[in-house]
Amino acid sequence: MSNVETKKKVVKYKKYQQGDVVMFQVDDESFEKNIDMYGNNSNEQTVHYNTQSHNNPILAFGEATGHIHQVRMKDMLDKAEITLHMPRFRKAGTDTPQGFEVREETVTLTHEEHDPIDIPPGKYLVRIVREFDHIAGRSRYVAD
Amino acid sequence: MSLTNNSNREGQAREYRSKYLENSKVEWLIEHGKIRENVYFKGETGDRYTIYVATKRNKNVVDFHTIFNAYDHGTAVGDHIATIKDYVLTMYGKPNRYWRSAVGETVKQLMRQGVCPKDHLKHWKIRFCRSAFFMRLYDGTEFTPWIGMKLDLQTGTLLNKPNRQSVLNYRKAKESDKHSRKMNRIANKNNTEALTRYHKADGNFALLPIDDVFKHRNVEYRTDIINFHGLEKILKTLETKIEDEDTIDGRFYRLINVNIPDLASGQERHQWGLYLEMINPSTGESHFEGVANAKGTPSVGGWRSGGELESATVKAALSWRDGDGMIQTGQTWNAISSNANYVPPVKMT
Repeated sequence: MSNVETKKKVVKYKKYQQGDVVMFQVDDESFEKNIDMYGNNSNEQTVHYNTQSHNNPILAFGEATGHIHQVRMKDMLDKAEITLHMPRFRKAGTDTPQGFEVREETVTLTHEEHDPIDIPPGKYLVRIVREFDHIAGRSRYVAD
Repeated sequence: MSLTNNSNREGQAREYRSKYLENSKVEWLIEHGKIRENVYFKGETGDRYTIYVATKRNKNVVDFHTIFNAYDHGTAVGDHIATIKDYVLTMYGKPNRYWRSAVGETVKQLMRQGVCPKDHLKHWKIRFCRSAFFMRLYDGTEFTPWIGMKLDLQTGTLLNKPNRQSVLNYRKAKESDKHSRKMNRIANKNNTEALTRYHKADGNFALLPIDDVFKHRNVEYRTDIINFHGLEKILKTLETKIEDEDTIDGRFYRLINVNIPDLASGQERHQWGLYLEMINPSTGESHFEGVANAKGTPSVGGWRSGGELESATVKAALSWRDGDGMIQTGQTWNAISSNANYVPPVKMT
């Protein structure tokens, strides 16, 4: 675990990264606080997946390339479960969740251009990396 | 405008037909007003809390004062801003006033209320340009108003010469205006020509010169060109310097400062922008991504969003890119990005 001192409190997290998707494994308190950042809990919706689910949890979808950061649930161990926490008005499957929970078993995140990455059980915040457009003078999320 | 005296006097002022001034009530005050009698009016929209009061001082002198009447501060006495003596308007005030309430602004407010020649051929004009007010008389004289300026309200002419500061302010603003207009003209020309080429190419971006990416104002057109040529090819045509190199968990990173021409502005100027060169750990391909500039980097493009790096280092750039500061502090995109708050991924593919 990395310890980072801030004036307010010590925030602990582990970071996993697959291409432009960064996953911060945080404790319950930080998870709840960040998930709730843009409003109360009623604004957020959860979508559950297990190995019997027809759909796979998707963390990011490349609009131009069509490449997907996803966990293929059918290939996971039987008890593996994932819950995506979607922001208000965002749709699981096409939009990036604010965070997700992995329960019981480690799952594997896959992508067409990146090697698979194992994600152990825990609570994660999801961020897309950003870049700066010096010509336009503004920052934005990396799009692929 | 209204009078504070009895209705009979008010009626006389209302019926008075002015000979020299556009504002008949002020002229009535000059011609027939009693000592200490006054008329007043409010500032223009946006300055409704300033009240301009004209008071008869003696037989042939009328003084103008301001009164500030704000909802939250109550009423406060302002300044003595002008005097009319024998139809000669003399401007007063304090030289250290903020431009909005400086002498140019008070002249503008008086003109707005008709304290100027009635003859439409002798009308004055005033406008704020870049950094100073420009006042233009009917005879073509143009200057920046100053404290002590004397204007004849009957003939519409300037009676004294501008002081040195007024001349300097006028020249500076005029020069700045000329330069800005030139910049706009070149930027418009660049943008229009780049647009023409873009539409003519009809999707075949090979026909477009690489530097069109700096001429377009529309980000989408720029992106199309960058996507076609590749950022690496564009950067190779520019001046660059390496700010930092680092290897983190066996991955090599390089932070490059690129001198980008700011052609869209129409000026022959450049701006430095940081780019992070990295290698995709899965495919081994090298690519560039722009990151925010380090603290203290001069910005020629004015306001820039997205925060800044504490220092021009690979770790600070990676911290900014991944958003470590945002997670740690709960702040938004302006969170601090430094070497200290970068947390390397335990696993990265």
